[in-house]
Amino acid sequence: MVVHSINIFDKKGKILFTKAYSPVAIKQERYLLESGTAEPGSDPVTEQKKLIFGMLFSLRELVGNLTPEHSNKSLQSIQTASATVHTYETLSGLRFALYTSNDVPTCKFSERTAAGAADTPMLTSSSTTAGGGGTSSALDSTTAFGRDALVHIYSNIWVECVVRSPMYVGNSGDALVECIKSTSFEKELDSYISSLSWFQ
Amino acid sequence: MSKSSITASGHTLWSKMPKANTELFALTYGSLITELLKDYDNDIEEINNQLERIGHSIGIRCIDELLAKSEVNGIDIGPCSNLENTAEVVAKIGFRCFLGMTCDVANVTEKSFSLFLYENPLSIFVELPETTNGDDDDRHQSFNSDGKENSGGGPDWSKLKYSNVYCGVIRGALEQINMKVECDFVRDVLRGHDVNEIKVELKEIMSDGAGQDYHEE
Repeated sequence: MVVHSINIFDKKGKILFTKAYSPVAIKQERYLLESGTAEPGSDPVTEQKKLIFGMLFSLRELVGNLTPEHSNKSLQSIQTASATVHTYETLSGLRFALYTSNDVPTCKFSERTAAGAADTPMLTSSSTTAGGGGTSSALDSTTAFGRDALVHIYSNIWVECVVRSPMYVGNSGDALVECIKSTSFEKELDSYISSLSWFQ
Repeated sequence: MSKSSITASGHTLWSKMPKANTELFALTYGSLITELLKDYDNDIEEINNQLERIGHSIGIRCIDELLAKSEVNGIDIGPCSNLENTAEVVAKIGFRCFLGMTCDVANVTEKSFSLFLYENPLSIFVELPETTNGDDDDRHQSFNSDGKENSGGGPDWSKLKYSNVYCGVIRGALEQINMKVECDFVRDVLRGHDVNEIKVELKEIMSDGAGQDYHEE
């Protein structure tokens, strides 16, 4: 069970914060930088992050159209053969995306076995819950799940460090990126993620 | 969300918030107003604007705090289906959980609503002085914004929107969720009316799109 990286986007798609944790992710980033085939003048790592935002944005529209009228229309996770992206979006437009390995369940009610989805991508949104949280009772409910971790990061770390900082100017823009750097957000985030029971 | 569940959520969140001393809060705000009066030399219009700006700064933070607290406590506020729903959330959850105030929503139209505030914690010790028309010879004559001559001394206290901070807070908070509003304090207990009323007008719902970086050349 590995956390690869975390990305935070604002409502306009600007990359507010991004960090790679696992050696695999760090190696991939370095590889992209060295052999970048993007147009001259643009950073291939940023381009890749923008692709992530674009995917989340389009999928959110899609999920919104597919979900029945009065149910919760949120995109929770996207699973491919090699990794899972857990996503959490706030009403104020902030989007969190956490890349982990495939054996981290996304939240209490959508536990899936690792054997599922061999080589087709699999989406989970909250209107299609798989039953049975029976085996999850042994795990600590707030830390064992990807999306719940993101909720915790938003409520306890983002709000405590960034929103309460005197430099905060609303949730989009370049000034916000500077503001995040000036707070202890990164440090708190690092200590929280390393303390998760499924981090390596 | 139904009205009763909104009220219940407001009470739950209020009970979870750390509390501060009301008197300390009111007196600190009062001294802020006094400082503003000194800094801006009794220019009431400018002070009202500054209070609104201060409130805006507070409001942009309040929205994330509210969303986070309700998420943690298992309350699902969810996207509001119409303006009345938004107004109810602002009045029953917002004002309740941050200030412990009871608020009512009224006069809901398609583009505006009014908030009635009952006990206002900011103005519990406050009384606005009478507008004086002094007769000192060395003071210049000054004109109020409506053209009425105010010969001599004091500022026109009836123009001071003492709790204008609230208008800024509402504007700032709603701006973060893509609603552009304008707020105004129409009736104020300090100026002799029977209830505090804030009128909120929806100017625009901003569209949620990808920013400059994503537009194709």
